[in-house]
Amino acid sequence: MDEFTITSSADPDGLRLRGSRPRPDTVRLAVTGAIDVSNASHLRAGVQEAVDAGEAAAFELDLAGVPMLDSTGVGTLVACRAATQRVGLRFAVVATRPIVYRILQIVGLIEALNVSMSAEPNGGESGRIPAAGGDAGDDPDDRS
Amino acid sequence: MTTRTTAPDQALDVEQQRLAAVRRYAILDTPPEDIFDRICALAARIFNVPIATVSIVDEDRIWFKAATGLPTGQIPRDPGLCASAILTDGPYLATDAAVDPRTLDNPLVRGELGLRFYAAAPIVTADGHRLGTVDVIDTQPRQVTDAELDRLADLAAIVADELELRLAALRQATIERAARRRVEAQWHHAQDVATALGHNLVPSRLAYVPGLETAAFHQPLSDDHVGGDFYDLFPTDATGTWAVFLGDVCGKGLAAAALTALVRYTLRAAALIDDDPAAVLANLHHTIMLDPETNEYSYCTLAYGRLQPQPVGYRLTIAVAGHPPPLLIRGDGATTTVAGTGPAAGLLADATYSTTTVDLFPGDTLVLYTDGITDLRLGEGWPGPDDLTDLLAGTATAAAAVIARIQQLTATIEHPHDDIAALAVSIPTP
Repeated sequence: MDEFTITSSADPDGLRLRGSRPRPDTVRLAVTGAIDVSNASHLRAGVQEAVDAGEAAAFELDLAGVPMLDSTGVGTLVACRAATQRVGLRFAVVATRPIVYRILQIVGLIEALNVSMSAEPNGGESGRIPAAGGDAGDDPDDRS
Repeated sequence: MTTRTTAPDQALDVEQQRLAAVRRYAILDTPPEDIFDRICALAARIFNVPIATVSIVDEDRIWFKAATGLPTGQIPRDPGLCASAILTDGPYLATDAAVDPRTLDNPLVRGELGLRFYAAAPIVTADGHRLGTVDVIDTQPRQVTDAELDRLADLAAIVADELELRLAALRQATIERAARRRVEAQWHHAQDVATALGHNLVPSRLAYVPGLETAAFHQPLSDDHVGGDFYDLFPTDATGTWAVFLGDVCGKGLAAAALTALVRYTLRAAALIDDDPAAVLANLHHTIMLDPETNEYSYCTLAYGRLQPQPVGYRLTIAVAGHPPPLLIRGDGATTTVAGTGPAAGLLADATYSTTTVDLFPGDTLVLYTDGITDLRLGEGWPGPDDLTDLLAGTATAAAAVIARIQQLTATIEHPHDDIAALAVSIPTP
């Protein structure tokens, strides 16, 4: 799949962003690192950059590499959704780590953020059924 | 040689400004400093004379910042040649003071010192004030060259430069001191505000509710930290109905505290208007969404319940906004969560909330808590409500004991990430 660089990925706070085109109509931004008050604005900028990167119909925020997000991080995901919806993109979040999924569940954003526990490579409606295997069990305690 | 003189009235004015300049440089009565001692010694060596001074002319004295061949100190201004020397812009020269009409009656010339030769270059500030002189003195009459007088003037200019540097350093230090004082004042002010708000976020003690046992626990992340956790328990009418809420606002610091205050006041008012907790949460949600002071993506999570007395026990109606669902510990030890979750208040334009109804009987305990408790990191996975259910199961069945148990558990958290708050309400067994 096509990958592209997010220039604001040189983040001092340990958040790494990687853009890609898993499907012709979809922009995916893969996030690695804990999302918190120290780097939330950086994520916002990265999403905006990925949105501006080219024509698409859908935007996918991949949080498979996110071990933890704090309350500011949660608010930032809603801000990211707003930024993509403003330009007419469908917004979805992939949260394969149980802790991240549970946080979004408790805050009541599973539906609004279109959160699924696995990426949908065929681009269908995102399901909410955990995929077998995957890296869901990876190191949920890692808050680095 | 320049001999510009000034009219008497004007002279007084000029002298006042000159004295102000002397004060500004804050040089008088300071201890000796190497740089001035060296300049003084150099002046004596250039002229090959026994005496040199770096003098500052004060209101009524001449004070030596440095002196060669004389003890450092001061002499009265009146007989001072230096006081005359600063009346001109250029060097002042008396090659034989004993015959020079300007100096022959001077006590320094006629007296014990027996001064015969005097040359001085004024120390002139950037804005033209003559603070004093670099001067050389001998007890023999001498001739000097223009080149020697130029060097004396150079030395005086170095003294002036040095004084400017000192002044700049003094000003910098003053600015830094003022800035530090300002920052400290702001910090203390912020501390006061934080403390005042903090006191307002959780009641100092819970209200006494007839027929209920209540207990609460709040552990801020640190003493000087305004956390986002809040709770309250208050009557909503005169018939013994009470409202209880516990929640957490996103973020930290004063902005979070301001949002917490808004949430608390809104809830207290909304509780009097609506009996239905879902309606109260919807009210709160719209208040946060519409608040111009609140950041667009600020929000709060909470559980809000209403306790209505029944012939036996209380009827609980409760709604939750993006918050861990409260726990219900039945008298027989069975523990469940109550209420499904709606989205956090203030975050999504189209949020809706629903109310759950549960009857509480003697022996039952309701526990509201913030997710700081989820810092309890026990083994794999998410230590969520289910884990807390397990942790509390069978250990306690009354409010105070449940809170004590939670307090005990949270004490095991080595590095808490967040505030921790919990509030329990139980119906005592008869």
